[in-house]
Amino acid sequence: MQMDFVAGVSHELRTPLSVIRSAGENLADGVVAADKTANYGALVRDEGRRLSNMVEQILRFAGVESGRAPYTFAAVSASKLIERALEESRATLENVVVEKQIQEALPNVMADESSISHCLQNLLGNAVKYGDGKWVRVEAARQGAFIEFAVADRGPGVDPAEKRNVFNPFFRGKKAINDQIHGLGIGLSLVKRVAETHGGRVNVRNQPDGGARFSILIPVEE
Amino acid sequence: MPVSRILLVEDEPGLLLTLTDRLISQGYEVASESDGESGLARATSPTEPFDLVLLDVMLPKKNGFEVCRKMRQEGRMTPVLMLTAKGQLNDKVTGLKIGADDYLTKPFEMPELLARVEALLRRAPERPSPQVFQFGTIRVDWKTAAVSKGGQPVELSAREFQLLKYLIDHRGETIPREDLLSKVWGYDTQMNTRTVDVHMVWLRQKLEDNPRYPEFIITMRGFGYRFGG
Repeated sequence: MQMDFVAGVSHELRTPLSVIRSAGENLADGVVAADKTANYGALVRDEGRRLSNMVEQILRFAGVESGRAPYTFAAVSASKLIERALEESRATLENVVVEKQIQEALPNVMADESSISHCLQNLLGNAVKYGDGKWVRVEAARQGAFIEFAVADRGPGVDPAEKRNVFNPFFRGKKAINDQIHGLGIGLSLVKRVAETHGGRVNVRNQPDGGARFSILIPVEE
Repeated sequence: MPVSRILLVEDEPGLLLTLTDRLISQGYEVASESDGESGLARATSPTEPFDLVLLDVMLPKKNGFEVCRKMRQEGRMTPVLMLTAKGQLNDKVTGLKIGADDYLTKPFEMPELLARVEALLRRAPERPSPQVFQFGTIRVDWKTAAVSKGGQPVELSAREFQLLKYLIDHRGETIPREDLLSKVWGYDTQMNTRTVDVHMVWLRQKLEDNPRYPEFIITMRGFGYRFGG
C-alpha cells in the first residue's frame, strides 16, 4: 500500500512542481517577455492551486485511512451540501453547464458537512475530467432511509470490467492512463470511506445514454 | 554555424511554455508537439531535421519510450533527451536501453537541463540534410538540383542555385551582402556586392509570386538579405 502510494502520488506532485519551478526560473532569469508575465503569473497560480488540492486530498486520504479523521456529525440539508460543493468547485466548473435535479422537501442528513461536501467535489471534479467537460448533473433524492447524492456526466462511462475496482485506492482506469488524465487515484476510495463512516455507501452505474453516474448514499436524520 | 533545432514533445501546457521560452532565449529554434503520435511524425519527418528531441515519457496516444524506439527503428539517430516525472530506476534503464541518449527526472533544475542539451548537441552528428526542402509551393531537390514552383520546373543557373542553397542553409539569419559574395562567389572574387543584388532580383523573379513584395527573399535594408521560408 505504501509503495503504491509513493509511486502514484509522486508522479502527480512532480508535474505541477516542475511547471512552477521552471516558470520561476524563467522569471528570475529575465527570460520572460514583459507581455507574457501575466501568463506566467496565471500559470504559477493555477499550478499552485492544483498542488494545494492534491496535498489536501492526500492529507484527507491519510486521515481517513488511519481512522484519525475528525468528524463532526450534525443535521444538514441536502441542498446546503450541494451548494457548498458547487461553490467550492467554482474553478473546476467554470465553463461547465450544471443541471440540478434536487427532490423537494428532502429530510436532513446526519453528516460531517465538510467531508460530504468534499466528496461531492471529488465526484464533480471527476465528472468534468472524465466526462465531456461541458455538462454535469447533480442529483439528490430520497432512497428509503438514505438520501442519494449523485453526479452524472456525458463521458464514455465506466468500463464494465473496471467497475468493481474504481473505488479501490490507487486504482486508475486504463483509458485514463492512456489518455494521460492526471489523477492520484485516491478520490473515489476517499468518497467510499467517508460514506461508510457515515453508515452509508457508494454506487456507480452507466446511464442509458452512456455517461457515468456516481452516487453517495447518506442516512437521513432520524 | 546554423542554429540548433530542438523538437520538444511534452503534453503539459505549462512546461511546454516555460521550456520553449527558455530554449528560445538560449538561441535554439524550437518546434513542439503535445502527443506521442504527432511527436513521432515530426521527429521522423523527411523534410524537417532536428538536432535534438526533448521527449516526455508519459504522453497521450504514444508514450515517449515507443516514440524513441520507433525513431531508432526508422534509423533516426537524432539525440533524444527523455524527461519524466517517473523517477524509478526501471524507467531510466528502459529509456536508455531503447536508445535514448540521456534522461532527466522532473522536477529538474533549468541549468541542468540546458547543460545536458548542450552536451548532447556537442556530441550530435551533423544533422543529415534532407533530400528535399519545401517552402510555399516551391520544392528544392538537393540531389538532382531540380527546383519547381507549384509543380512546374524552374530553371536556375548554377550560381542562383548555390545562392538559394546558402540562403536556405542560413534561414532566419540576416546575411550581409559581403558574406554572400565571399561564400557563394568565392573569396578572391573581383565582383562587388551589386552582383549579389542583381542575382537576388533574378531569384525573386523566378521564385516569388510577387517579386516586388517578396515573401521569401527579404531585403534587410542596410545589412543584406534574409531567407524567410
